[in-house]
This record gives sequence, C-alpha cells and structure tokens, in this order.
Amino acid sequence: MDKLFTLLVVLVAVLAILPILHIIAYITWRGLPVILSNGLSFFTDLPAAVVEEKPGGIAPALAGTIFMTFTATLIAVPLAMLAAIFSIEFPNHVLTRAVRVASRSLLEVATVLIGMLIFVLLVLPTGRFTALAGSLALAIVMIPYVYTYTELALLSVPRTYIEAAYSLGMKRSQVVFYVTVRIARRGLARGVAIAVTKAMGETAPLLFTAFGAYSVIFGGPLEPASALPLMVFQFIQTGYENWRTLAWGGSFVLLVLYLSVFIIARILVREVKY
Amino acid sequence: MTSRRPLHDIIFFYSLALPAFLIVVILSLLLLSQLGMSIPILRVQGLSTYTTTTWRPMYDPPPDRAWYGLLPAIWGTMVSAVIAILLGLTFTIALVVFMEEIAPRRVREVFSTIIDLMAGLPTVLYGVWGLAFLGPLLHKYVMSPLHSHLSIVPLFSCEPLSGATVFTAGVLLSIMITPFMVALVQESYRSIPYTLKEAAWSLGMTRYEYVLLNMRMIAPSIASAILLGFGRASSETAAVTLVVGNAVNIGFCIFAPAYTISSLIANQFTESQDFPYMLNALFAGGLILLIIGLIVNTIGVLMLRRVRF
Amino acid sequence: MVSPAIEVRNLKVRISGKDILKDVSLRVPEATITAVMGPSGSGKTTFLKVLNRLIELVDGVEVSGEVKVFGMNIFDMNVYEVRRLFGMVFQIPNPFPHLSIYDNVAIGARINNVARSRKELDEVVRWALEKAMLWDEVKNRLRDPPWRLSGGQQQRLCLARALAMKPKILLLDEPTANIDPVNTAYLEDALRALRRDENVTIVIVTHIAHQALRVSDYIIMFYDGRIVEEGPTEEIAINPREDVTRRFLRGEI
Repeated sequence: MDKLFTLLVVLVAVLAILPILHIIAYITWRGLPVILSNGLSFFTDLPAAVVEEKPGGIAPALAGTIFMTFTATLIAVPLAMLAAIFSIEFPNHVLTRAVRVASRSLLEVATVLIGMLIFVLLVLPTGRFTALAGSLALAIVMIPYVYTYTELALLSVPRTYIEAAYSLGMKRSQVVFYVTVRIARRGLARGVAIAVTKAMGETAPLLFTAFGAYSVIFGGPLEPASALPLMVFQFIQTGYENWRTLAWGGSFVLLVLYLSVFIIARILVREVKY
Repeated sequence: MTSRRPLHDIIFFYSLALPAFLIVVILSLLLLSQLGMSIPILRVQGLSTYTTTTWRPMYDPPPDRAWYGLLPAIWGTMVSAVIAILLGLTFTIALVVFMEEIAPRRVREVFSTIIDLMAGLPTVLYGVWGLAFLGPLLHKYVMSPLHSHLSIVPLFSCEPLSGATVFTAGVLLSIMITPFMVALVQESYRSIPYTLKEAAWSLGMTRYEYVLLNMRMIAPSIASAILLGFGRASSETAAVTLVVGNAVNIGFCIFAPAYTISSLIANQFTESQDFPYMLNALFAGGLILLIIGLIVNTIGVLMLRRVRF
Repeated sequence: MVSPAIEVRNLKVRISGKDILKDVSLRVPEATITAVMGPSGSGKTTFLKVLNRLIELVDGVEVSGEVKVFGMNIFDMNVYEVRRLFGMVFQIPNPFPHLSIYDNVAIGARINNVARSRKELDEVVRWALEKAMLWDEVKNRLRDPPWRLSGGQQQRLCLARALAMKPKILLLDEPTANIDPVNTAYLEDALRALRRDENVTIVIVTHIAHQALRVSDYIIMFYDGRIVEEGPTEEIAINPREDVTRRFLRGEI
C-alpha cells in the first residue's frame, strides 16, 4: 500500500514539472528555426506586410521592451527602495503598515487592472497610447517586488554593524546608505533582478497603455510602442502565417532573456555572506 | 528625555515618507479609478450587469439597445479557477510530499529550481504553448474521448470543437499557479516540529498515514493555498485569453469556449473604443475582479496565521 | 576631582517598563582609565550607551536625569555631535564586512572630517592602527577584508576605527570578553599607552574583577542598576567600603 502511495506521489510530482520542461523545448523547437533562417534581420527589421513571404523582424518589440523595461526600472527601483528603507527605519509608523498593505495588494492584483489605471490617468486625458504609459504601468508592477525584497535584505543586516556605525557619529542617512544598504546590496540586487524579470515578461499592463505599434522601430516615448510579450500575444492571434512565425521567434527570444536573468539572479543569491 | 530632533533627521523622515506615501496613493487611485469608471454602466444597467448573460454591443447605448452582461465572464473565471485549484492542489501536494519525504537532496534541489523557473516564466509563453500544444492535446486525448463516452455527465455534454475551452484554461492555469501554492504549503510543512514527526514514526505509521497526519496539521495553510491560488488563477490574463476561446457562453459543460473577466477585458478592449459604455462594462468587470481578489486574498492570508502546533 | 570628563546626576533609565538604571550619580575623571565594573546585568552596558546616546536606538526606552560631558549637557546637544565626542568598542568585534581594513579605519576619520586629503587620511589610518597595536600585523594587507583577521585582531581593528575619530573619550564595552589572553594583553597595553601619550579619557566596562584592578586608575562599582561606590583603584582594591564590592573583588558574585 505504501509502495503504491509513493509511486503515485512520484508520478504526479514528475507530471507537475514536465510541462515547463516541455514548454522550453517546444518554444525552442518552434522559435529557434525562425531566427536561424532569418538571421540578423529578425532583430533589426520591422514586421513585413502581411502579404509578403518573408516575415521581417521584431525590432519594434525589442526596442519597446528595452525602453520600457529600462524606464520602468528607473522609476520603480528608487521609489520602492526608499519606501522599504522608510519601513525599516520607522517600523511602528502608521504609514509603514499602509505601505505594506499597499505593496501586498499591488502584488496580488491582476496586472491588467494596473494597465487600466494608467489608461485612466494618462491615456484617456491625453488621448494617446504611449511608451511612457507602458513604462509607468510596468513600474507599478515592479514596485511590490523591489519593496519586499529590499525590506527582507535590509532586515537581515546584523544589528551590531548598525550600532557600530552610529557610535562613529554617523547620521541616520549615513548609517543607512553607507552601511546598511551596502552590506545588503546583493539582496537588493536580487530583488531588482526579479522585478526586471516581471517587467520584461508582462503583457496585460501594456494592452491599455503602450498598445503596440509596428510601423516604426521606435517612435519615441510619446508614441505607442510594442514589447516582446505584447508582440507575441498580438501576433500569435492573427491569421497571417508570417506574423505568427514572428510570434514564435519572439517567444524564443523572450525565453532566452528570461532564462538569462533567472541565472543571474541565482548567482547573486549564492554570494551573500557576512 | 527629549531634545529637539536634529534637522537632518526631519529631512530624512520626510524624504523617505514621500515615496512610501506615493505607493499608498497608487493603490488608492487604482481602487478609485476602477470604481469611477464602472459607475456609468452600473447606473444605466444596475447590478444586473453582473447577473445577466447577454452581451450585445451596439452603437446605441444600454439599456435600450445595447446590453453588457458580465455573468458569462464571471462564470468562466470561476470555472477555470476551480479547475485550476483542483488540479493545482493535486500537483502541489504531490510535489511537497515528494520533495520533503521522498527525494534525495540533489533531486530536491533540481525540482526546487524547476519550480522557481515555472514561477517566473512570462505568462504569454504559457499561453502560446497552451494554444499550440496543450489545447490540441487535451482536445484529442481528453476532451473528445470523454465527450464521446461520457456525455451523460453534464460536464462533458458538449462537443469540444477545438482546444480552446474553459477546461483547457483551467488546466493551463493549474500549471501556472502550482509554484505559488507549493511555496506556501512547503514552508508550512517544513515548520512542523521535528518532535511531532518523530512521534508519528515511533507509532509505526506508514508513509501514507504519516503524510496524511502532517497535511491535517497544516490544513489552514492548505486552505490558504487554495484561496490564494484561486486569486492568482482569476487574475491571469495573457495566457488565459489565448486558450479560453473567447466566446460568450455559460452552462454546465466545460468543454466549451468561454470568457473570463480578464480575457474579456483583454479581448474586447479595442472594440470598446467604438461602442459607448462597453469600456465602462469592462471596468465593471475589473471591479468585480478586484473585489473577488481582495476578499479571497484577505481570507487566505488570515488562514495562514492560523497554523499552530 | 578637578574637572571631571563626565558628570552624571540622577540618571534613571527604563526599558519597556523595566528599571535598568535606578538613580545613578557619578563622575569620571579626565585622562584616566576608569573601570565600570560589576556582575552581569547590573546595568553597565546600558550606562555606557547612555553616554553616547546610543541607547536611544532601543525601542521603548525612557531616560531621565542629567549627563554632562566636559561641562556640556548631552541631552541639549545635537545627538550626532554627542556621538562624535566618543569612540566605542563593542563586546563582539564588528568591523564592517563590506570594507577593507584600511577603509574600516578610514571611515571613522572621514565621517568626522578628521582628514582632508588622501595623504592626511593615510597618516590618520596609520596612527590609529599603531595606537591599536595592529599596524605591524596589517600594514601589508590594508586592502584585505576584515574577516581574514582573527577575533583579537578584529577587535584591535575596531579600536583603531574608533581612534580614527580622534575622540575625546573612549568607551569600551567588555572588549576582551570574546578574545584570547594574548590579544587581551595587547588591547590593555594599547589603552595604557593611549592614556599616557594622548590624554584620552577611557571608560571600560568589565565584569572581570582582575581586569578592572589591572588596567584602571579609577573604579566605579555597579550593582543592580545602582552605583555602589567609586574611587581611585588603589583605595578600592585595598579597602573597599561596601560589602558588595568586596564580594565582587573576591569573585563571589
């Protein structure tokens, strides 16, 4: 009886992890050939008109992802880190409790709703979809991740170093920025890496904000833009063969990007030591 | 004994409080905007927005000509989420038991890494795989056979026309929420004091009985995983939109295409530019999603605190 | 006492409702080594942390009374300026793990604007390490991280870090409790030299009677949150007035 139970558990456990392995294999199988057969132009060209034979390239999606992930990180990281420092320095303040609740809620909420928020705040009043709006939406998605991981990392700094810093006459801000943050920097970097992964991979927040644009590589922050996940999402649903091909190629690129950041985040974890 | 707070400390406080405050403001704006944009349609259609099944976009506004009923989408969200947690819980418990009780350390680490990998994978990639592979697979080997042989069962009573059904969405979601649920249950399982485990073994329990005992001890966190997993499943947009079929449908059969609230929003957004009040209807959908999420997550977190040994 | 470096009157400290220091009044003479001694739990460390107002970092602390350092009331002053008067060495060595040996010493000097140029900084670092009797052992590996040093060496490094501030008063909280006898001897030698050559006022908290007798010129005896007695070391050593002191010196408490 026990043997049966064990067998069942092992089978189901293996079954549970098979999908991800298959996903990686499958996306590589369908996406890598697209890149190989199109070469560099896959990364540098615009998507071709639907009637053509060659699919063109995904340059707008790449440009958009780079721009929006970068600007979202610039906005989210300082904001979330400072808020986390506030929570550490003033743990009993009512604002700290409020921020924790807010962060947890933003973490749990459907990301499409975050896109809708920016839609209401920015897109409706200005009447245009913009890359900037996309960046803002992604920034909000990133905030809870950076906040939570920063708080965790700062909390783990042994108190004795903080006391030593104060005893040297350091002011509060000096203690925080020269000592606490610097000792915890690997944990902080890991939080940023994880948040960047999220920003890179999200689709829903961009539906209402950046909207997607494929006639130029990048029109600027005040024009609609695409991003890798958005492009994949939009193109895979079209009826046009060559655009679906682009979607597969883009899926593969996105997969590779994700795996790279994943590995980097892992390496960062291993090296924390006091 | 108090002396004046140094000016430096005051500046320190306010410059840190500002970002913190901003985050709270962002959440508040989210709630307010969702509510504000829903009000127009709720005023015109009332609460039956949530209880009617007709979705009739027209250029003339509701309630006279057009009508936007969200019940099918709500139903789709519920059904897909329920399927997701049923399957997901099975996976979760198997994985936790496997990693904590059966697997040697190396294997456990490998599984752990793989689960982490699953947790962060961009959801659109799940969707693309679901659309191209999982859907057709389920269609051919699960749904069609079940329909041909067991169509007496109401769940299987309709003929699946393709892989894009609410059942497929549920299965895909179960894979996606498993890592999250595993993290919750595993942490709880690990915190069971060693002495309790020793007591169980000393009583001569088999592995099966022992695991059952442990699971009963951490039952609140399993309940929490179910609730929080439900919340996750109902929020997912990109992957679900690609596999759920996006048709207005409601009924007992799970082999039919359907909408979820999030897929309705994603799918109909561009349409909503042309039809007055449709956008508001979508926001009303977002509102109910928000409320469901809030309730489910709050209870789920509270349950987590009730684990005691 | 001519003009005490530290003068305390009616100091009371309560932490989370519990009385730790109950009406303490004492004086610490200038340019001497004063041992604050007593059994564990008598409030010595708390007393030390009141002096540089580090105690205020603790949750739920209430402090009342008067503390004057060189005639200045520390509770009227800017807290950061108060802390800069003191250098502190803690019970467990705590050099900053993310800084090199050099930078650990230098940070004390930098924060307090003791050195203005790179050259001055180098001189201060060398001076501090020499006074801490560590220079010879680390002069060729100043860029190394501190965890390569032994516990005793790390503690001397912490002393150097505090000295680089050029503090008027040095506070040491059971500095040798966790290090070996050889390094303890080094540290005590360093303290004597500092008192003799640099006129630094030193306050060392210890629960080891021998150390107090060996190292100090002046003794303050703590017990259960109160001062039992104070006086020059020779007097206390030969003829303690209080019974508690006598029992402590005999190792009975």
